[in-house]
Amino acid sequence: MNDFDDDAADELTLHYRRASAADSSRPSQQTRAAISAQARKVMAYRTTRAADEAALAQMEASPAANDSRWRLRAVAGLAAVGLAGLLAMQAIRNTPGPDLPRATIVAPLTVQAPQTPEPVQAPFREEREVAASPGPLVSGGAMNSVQSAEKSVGADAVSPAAFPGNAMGTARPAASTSPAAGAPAPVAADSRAVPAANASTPRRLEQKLASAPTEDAPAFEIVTLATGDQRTDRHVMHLQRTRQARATLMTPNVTLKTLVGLAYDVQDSQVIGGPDWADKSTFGITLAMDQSVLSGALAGEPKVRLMLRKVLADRFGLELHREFRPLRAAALVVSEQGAKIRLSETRPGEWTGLKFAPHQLLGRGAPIRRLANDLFMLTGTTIVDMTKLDQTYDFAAQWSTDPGRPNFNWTTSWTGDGPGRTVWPGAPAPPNVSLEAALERQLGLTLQPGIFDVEVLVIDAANQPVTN
Amino acid sequence: MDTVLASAAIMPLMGDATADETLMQRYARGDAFAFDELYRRHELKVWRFIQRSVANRASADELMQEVWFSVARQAPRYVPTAKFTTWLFTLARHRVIDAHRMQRPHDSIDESRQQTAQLVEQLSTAPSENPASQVQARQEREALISAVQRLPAEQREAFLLQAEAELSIADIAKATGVNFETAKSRLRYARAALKTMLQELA
Repeated sequence: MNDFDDDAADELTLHYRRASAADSSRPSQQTRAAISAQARKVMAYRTTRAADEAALAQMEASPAANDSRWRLRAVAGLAAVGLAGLLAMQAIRNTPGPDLPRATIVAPLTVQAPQTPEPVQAPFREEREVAASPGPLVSGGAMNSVQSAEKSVGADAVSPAAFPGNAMGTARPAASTSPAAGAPAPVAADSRAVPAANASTPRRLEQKLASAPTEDAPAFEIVTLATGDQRTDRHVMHLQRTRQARATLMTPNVTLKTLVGLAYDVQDSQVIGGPDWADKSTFGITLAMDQSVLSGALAGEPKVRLMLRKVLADRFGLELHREFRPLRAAALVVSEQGAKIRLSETRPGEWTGLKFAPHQLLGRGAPIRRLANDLFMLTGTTIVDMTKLDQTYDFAAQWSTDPGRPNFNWTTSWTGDGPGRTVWPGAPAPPNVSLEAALERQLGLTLQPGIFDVEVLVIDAANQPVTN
Repeated sequence: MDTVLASAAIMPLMGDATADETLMQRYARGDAFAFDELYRRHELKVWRFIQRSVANRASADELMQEVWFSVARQAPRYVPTAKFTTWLFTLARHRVIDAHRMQRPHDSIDESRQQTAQLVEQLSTAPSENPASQVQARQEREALISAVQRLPAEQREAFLLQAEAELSIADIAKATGVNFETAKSRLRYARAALKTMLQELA
């Protein structure tokens, strides 16, 4: 027997509603702002991501990149690797690797020009506003050795800088629950459409992809796929132009997760799941490709990124999906005193890039999101760029020795030959200044630890590849 | 006549440009303002549902974010097979359950009491006919809010889903994953318990 009308509110309910209506409590302003911002980030990313998927689908509709042609091309490719490999491995072996944070180093691609200089198309220079940086030239542990190798072949900048991308997210209080839990019935279980919160790197990149819908799919051949070279105590990727009108990509000692991070433009920490070996076993991969990869609207890193996705799918049987996960990370934000960096005043031909040396960093014409990426490598913590600083900047900072941090040498160059002694502030490290304090006092940027809603790539399936 | 009623019932889900379901679809297609409108409409209902359930300001803020983040995230896959509010409060309920399971360390009884007191203080500032009735109204609100928060979880959520989310019993059943009779029973028990508690305090 009903003692109340099923759906009609009784007096008690009405009384409650009156009491509740008088309640002036609201979500905090921070919460409301975060929700609004997140809704827009998600929407923006969803829009641009569709363009990325379209470009990828177009590429995948082309002939398989590692079809039988690779056997013929491999011969030429191996010859090319002979020269280029010598240069690259020299840089690697001369590197004092043990000090580097092995598990977190993800080097931007290095592009080297042929010994006989030729006009190199640099689309990312031309589209600097879109790519936010003109393309890394050098990156790796021993800056000097890598630089010397580059100079010996007359290196020039070709590839873009958005590699790897930085994490973006929305600040939220600690101890959040899993967003994956509890999807209600009206929504399908598919999580591929879960968008990233990244409002900078992927969006810009995918705009670029969308702008070149007719670009030919890049072709590549896997020249070698072997177990990682344990003598190389760091993860290095070199994209090099060779004399034989080819380009090679070398990753001598990388884990699957690092490869995924490189292929999908995220920090290592944003790649989760998968088999145990995904972040333990290392692989050495050398890809050979036509030099056309270095030109055209998709030149450089975006093209290679798409190639790597193909490699991962074909050789590792990689299956993954995107979703948001609350990650313990650090937000890079402008401090209350305001940013103390200045808009870049570098002129054409001058060095632009980011250099980390023990206790010091120097940026010239550098986007902050790339600073965030490198801070991730230095700290091992996912860095969420929430500064909203989307120009290129000049800055420098120094901090004290921290026994808990690796002796970090890292240079990414986009233009020019390198910072050199004339521009690198060689002053001794100040005492009692932590990295965090240096960022705040000298750059006006603050690292705020917390839990953030960060897009991650979840490895659903992967197979140990057959090496050759 | 039945046909007309059925069509009218379907209309909000299918064609009304201002229906929640339509706004959700518009947001999925890239209309950020549609999300703003959805949020404006349901902010307080969701907020109060969460706040009454966890009785902790910090947790409520956190859960509020998670719920609306989920709304944004799942918009492309949202299919209006049910009322938007049913779906929305299903999300909110799941987040609340997650929060209780995790037993967040910063949930404290003291804070809960303090916030209840703050709520009462806020309520007491509402305009009233005279000081005496103002005090009486404040005491009634205090008692009622406190009583709702002391309800067993299943009864509380059923009551809040009806009182705050304005869901029908059928929708409450759908949102909580139980059959109609169970949802109805929980509501009945909730109301009975509230009345008992209020009588004891009277």
